[in-house]
Amino acid sequence: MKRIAPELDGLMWTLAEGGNDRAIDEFGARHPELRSELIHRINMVKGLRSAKSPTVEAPKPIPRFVPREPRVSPIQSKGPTLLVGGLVLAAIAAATFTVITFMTPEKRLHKEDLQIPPIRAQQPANVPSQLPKADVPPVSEPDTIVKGNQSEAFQKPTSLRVDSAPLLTVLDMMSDICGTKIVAAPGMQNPNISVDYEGMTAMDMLRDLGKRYLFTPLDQHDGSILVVPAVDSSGTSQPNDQVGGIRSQKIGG
Amino acid sequence: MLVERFLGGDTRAFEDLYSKYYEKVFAIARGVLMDSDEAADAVQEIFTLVYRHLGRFDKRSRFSTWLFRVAVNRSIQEARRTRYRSRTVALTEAITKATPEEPDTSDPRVQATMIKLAPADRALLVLFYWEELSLQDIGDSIGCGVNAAKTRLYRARERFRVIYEATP
Repeated sequence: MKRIAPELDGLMWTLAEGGNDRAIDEFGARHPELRSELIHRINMVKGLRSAKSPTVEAPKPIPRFVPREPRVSPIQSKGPTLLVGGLVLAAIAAATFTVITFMTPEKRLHKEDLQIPPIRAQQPANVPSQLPKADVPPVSEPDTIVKGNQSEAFQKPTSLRVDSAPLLTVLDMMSDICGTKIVAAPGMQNPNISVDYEGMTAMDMLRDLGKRYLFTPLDQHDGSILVVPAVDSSGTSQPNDQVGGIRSQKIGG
Repeated sequence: MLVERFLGGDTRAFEDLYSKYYEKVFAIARGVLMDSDEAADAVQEIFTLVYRHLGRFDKRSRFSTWLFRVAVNRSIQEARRTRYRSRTVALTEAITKATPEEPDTSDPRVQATMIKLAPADRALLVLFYWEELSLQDIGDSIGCGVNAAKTRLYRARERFRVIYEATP
């Protein structure tokens, strides 16, 4: 069917339902292309209306009215039955469980029973009480750094006199004299210096030099002393407590 | 008024209401359910509802409008509940109705088309073409305004036409 304009469509339905022959003829004359569609609708409406008459005859005589009970759905009607059945089953299950539980001669576990007894070492009967000692040298303790022993060498007072030598050379000389290893960290300045120490330990000498030439001696606790520039740029370095008393100094203000 | 008499305690007044409106209610139920037996059963249900709840009728509309509304809603509800069964029975009934002792002048295409329609669409067509209610009354019967009733009726008729033309 062609698309009909809504106005014409509505008008055609009105004509089909109204049954005015004159109006139908006039519409057919004006819109001959819609004539067949109009006739089709008229027949359809007639058929729709006529569908009522024979098949929709009400029963005769009219049956007597008797108010019915409110209709309940199948689920609603079976609801109480299902509920009672469920309760009965639950009761049976609970009774069965109770009977089985109390009839079974099984020792009940108490809290004390659940505690694990302490394990006691028992000497097996086939093993002698004293095992023969093997000729194995005693196992020494792992190597541990003993502060006193490691630092003993450079705790010994010594004397050192140098006239105009580079700082790093003086540190090497001090290392040889005091019998300890002095390691200069990268970035150390190396000015020509003169020293004259008598009866001083290596650490005391280094501390004194550090104040003058801005470095810090750090006891590495492995028989060596690390000498680092006194002040780092961040200012966060903390002098080792073992060195004692030397505070970081800022170079160049 | 029969309604007021019944609400006043006169139970015989309801029997008069029942007799007066039985055929119209049956026609609506039959049109929606497409089955006479189910329609007769539905009519009893409908009047039972009216019997129990007539006190809710607020008298703002005519009693017939309120009754048709109950009838339409209940019939649609029933049709949805027994849709498959209703279709099957109606087809059988449409065939068996064409018997010599009860000549059927109705178009079998219309019957077949009505069966394929949704219950709500059938209700609209029944109210308009069979009961010849006005759009206002149809609106009141299905719980909407005149314009909505007009639109719904147009759509129901279009759906009917599409199925009707596709039905051999």
